[in-house]
Amino acid sequence: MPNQELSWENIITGPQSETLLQAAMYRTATNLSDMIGRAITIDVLDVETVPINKVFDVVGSPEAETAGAYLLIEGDLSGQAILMLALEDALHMVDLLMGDTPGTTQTLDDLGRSAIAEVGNVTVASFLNEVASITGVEARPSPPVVIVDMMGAILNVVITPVAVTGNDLVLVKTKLQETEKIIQAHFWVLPEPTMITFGNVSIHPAKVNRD
Amino acid sequence: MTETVRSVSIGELVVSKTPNDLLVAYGLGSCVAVCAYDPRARIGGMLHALLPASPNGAASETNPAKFVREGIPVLLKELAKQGANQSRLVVRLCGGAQMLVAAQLNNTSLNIGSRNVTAATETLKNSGLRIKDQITGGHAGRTVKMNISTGKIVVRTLGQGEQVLD
Repeated sequence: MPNQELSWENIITGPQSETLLQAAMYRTATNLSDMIGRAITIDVLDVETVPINKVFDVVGSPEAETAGAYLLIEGDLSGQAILMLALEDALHMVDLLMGDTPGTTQTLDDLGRSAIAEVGNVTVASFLNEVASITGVEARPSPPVVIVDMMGAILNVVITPVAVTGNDLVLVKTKLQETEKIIQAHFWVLPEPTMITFGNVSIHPAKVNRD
Repeated sequence: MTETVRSVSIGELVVSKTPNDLLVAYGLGSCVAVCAYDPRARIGGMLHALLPASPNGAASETNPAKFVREGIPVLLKELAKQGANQSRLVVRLCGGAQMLVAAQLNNTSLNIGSRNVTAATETLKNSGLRIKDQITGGHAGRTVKMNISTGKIVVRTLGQGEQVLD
């Protein structure tokens, strides 16, 4: 992939996007597995272009309680990234990280938010590292900010800059899965000011499959 | 009377005079919902805008409802077209939260909520309209519902219950 063609849009939708996305999600899953101590897989289910006003038809209820880890991307390619988990799944993730019995964590306190921030950091950093190793493009994430709110309100953060110049998001749907539970996760990387979205990933132990 | 929910998605506006319609803008973060209702004609409308103003200007903007400044005139025009009288409109403004509070994220999108509120306030004032109530700002998402038969507005904030604007 020649450097002059590099953009987040190319990385996500270009001719080598499938290879790159799978490699990036594999690395992300491996690093998350190491962090959590459980086998995690990530599947990229689909990549589709979605009009902004239809985005909730694809990602789910805008009122759903959601935890999002938001990061800015700096370097050769700037942008923003967000990892969103249903609040229930975020609580489960905190239990895994803390070594607690599933169901122990009932609310996302400061410690829990810190844990989700670290998950977001590992996810985005792993993705960017893989992009760098394949393309030579260097990009690094800012410290994460964790938001717990309605999904619609969290999505405002990433949709708004896209809407300045466009009416569509490119959504890569993903699904995370560990041995006991499927975790609905949305991992989006968006360039600025024209935005591109990463959507569905599912996580299976050790490999990434595109359906 | 069974209510018919009509979702007002991001970058959309809906005007209705059907009494059992319930206009709903779900999960507002930095977005704003501009709600206007003519209590005599029982016609209401809601704009769900993301950004203060179009970089292209009103004339060349293909989707004015994405923008507060360009969307409000279209909302008022649609209300008038369906029979609402602008001098009777009861206007409410909701949303405009700041979802990210982090000094290290120096991103222009971060203060968009307050800019949306300012743009709405100015545009409504320039149209000769007074905002009767507003539930804006803060750091939490909101869902806004408008009952077309009564004009009543219900604002739900996650973890904080509902506020009713009669």
